[in-house]
Amino acid sequence: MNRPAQAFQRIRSFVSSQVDVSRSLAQALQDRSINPYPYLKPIFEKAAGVREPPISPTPHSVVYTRGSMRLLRYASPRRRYRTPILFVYSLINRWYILDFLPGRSLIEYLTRQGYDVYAIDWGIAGQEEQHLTWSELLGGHIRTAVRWTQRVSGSDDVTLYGYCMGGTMALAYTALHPEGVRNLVVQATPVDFSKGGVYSLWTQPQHFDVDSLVDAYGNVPTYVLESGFFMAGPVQRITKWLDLCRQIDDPAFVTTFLALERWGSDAVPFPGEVYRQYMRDCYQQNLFCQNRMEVGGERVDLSRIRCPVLNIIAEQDNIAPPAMSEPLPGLLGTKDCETMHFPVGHIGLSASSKSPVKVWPRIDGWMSQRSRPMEGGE
Amino acid sequence: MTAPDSRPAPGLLARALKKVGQLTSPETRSGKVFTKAERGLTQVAARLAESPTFLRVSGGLMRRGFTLQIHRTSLMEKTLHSLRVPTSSEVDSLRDQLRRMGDQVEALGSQLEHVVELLERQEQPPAASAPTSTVSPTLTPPPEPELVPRRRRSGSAR
Repeated sequence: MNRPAQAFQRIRSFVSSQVDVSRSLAQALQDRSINPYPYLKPIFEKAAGVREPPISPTPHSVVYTRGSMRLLRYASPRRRYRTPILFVYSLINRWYILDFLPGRSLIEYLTRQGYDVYAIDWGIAGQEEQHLTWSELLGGHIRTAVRWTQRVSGSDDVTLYGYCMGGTMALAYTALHPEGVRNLVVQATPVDFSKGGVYSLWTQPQHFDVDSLVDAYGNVPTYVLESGFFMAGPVQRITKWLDLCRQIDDPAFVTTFLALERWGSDAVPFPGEVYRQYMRDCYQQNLFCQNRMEVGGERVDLSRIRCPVLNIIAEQDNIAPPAMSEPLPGLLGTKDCETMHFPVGHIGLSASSKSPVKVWPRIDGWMSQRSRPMEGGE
Repeated sequence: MTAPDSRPAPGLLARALKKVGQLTSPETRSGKVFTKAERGLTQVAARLAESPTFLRVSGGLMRRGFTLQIHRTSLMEKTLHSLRVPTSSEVDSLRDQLRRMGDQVEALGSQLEHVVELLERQEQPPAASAPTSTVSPTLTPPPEPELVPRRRRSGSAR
């Protein structure tokens, strides 16, 4: 290529990258996001010369859908266990933190250990989900997801794996529908909602009118949820980006940081009626750990859970602090309940660089002892 | 893990960001001042977050904001309806329905493949069938993982 052509190419490339950055910033301004990620992402991507990694990189297929919910299957390259794992994720963020990045993905790790893995993606709640109740969520969505998991994996039981609020839902589900649940794993799961720190304080009825919120919007908008998380640590939400500035010449660091921030900024609307009952019964009245929460007219009695339970606690968790999860073993009807503590944060359990070495092998060890192996050592 | 960009190596922007990082690094003098300020602000924010007055005021403002939002949306939708223009919530709902249909079609494809596999297994002579002892009577033996298409959904976050 001759010199003028090279110069033209460089100018074109420069202009086009400026246009890309401006377009991304304009979009972020138009969306009026309160999360700094959409504003800063194009700048850091351009500075570090990295691009967004794909979402949920482990190969998967959609097995079943119901409304906005999708049941995803991550087949194992070499299956060793008949008992599949079904992830029940929280309704606040998206499931793909469980399949974060290659080499730092809990789902990828488990498929490599020989599990047939399924995950519920709750999707983006729309008008149809506004009137969804806990009863429909547990007895409809999760129950059908369990059945499809059993059907596709060819197993008559599953290991139910709940994360964060998904753990609360998995506990409630197992208490109401114990059949078919062979093992229950709950990770960073709120149980005693009076110990939730600022979140317990902010959601008290004298400060927070959940009815006016749900009545106004139907589904709880993402900015309301985001503003809650933002207020829990407003200074750190901004200053952590300065750490990224210092490591701008480390593309791996920048990619991981941006991928985590992308997930953090990808909140989804919370189905209104589910949110109303969750706030009232759990955060405002703390009925869940008193076995007094009612779903579809039936009491959620945790002592009905008789399958093996693994209670995973992140010691530096400020969303579901350890004190929220620690009372669980005393509430269950099973003696096979083990609690594991790990020195990481709420997200660190699934996305920390330590997890593949220090966290997941212990979880796998617990599940492998309690999962049915494939016949004939497949 | 990282996908290096093919664009020319960024220079000025990266250097400027690095400088900002250095100036706020706890190892430099300016960074020490910044860290002190950050700590102070964190304490103020923590105190504010637990202050009953702040909680009462913010709770009241939020409630008022929600009520205003209801009125605003209702007024806007009424105006757009009178002009026979689809409202943003209607467009969102339509987009949502399309997305869900796409998902359903994909799921139906997977389910159909599963059914075909089960039928194929039923057609096989009984001696060749896999043992079914650990599977519930209503379930036929599962498909082998490699038989299930391993599809990568690039836009799976929707």
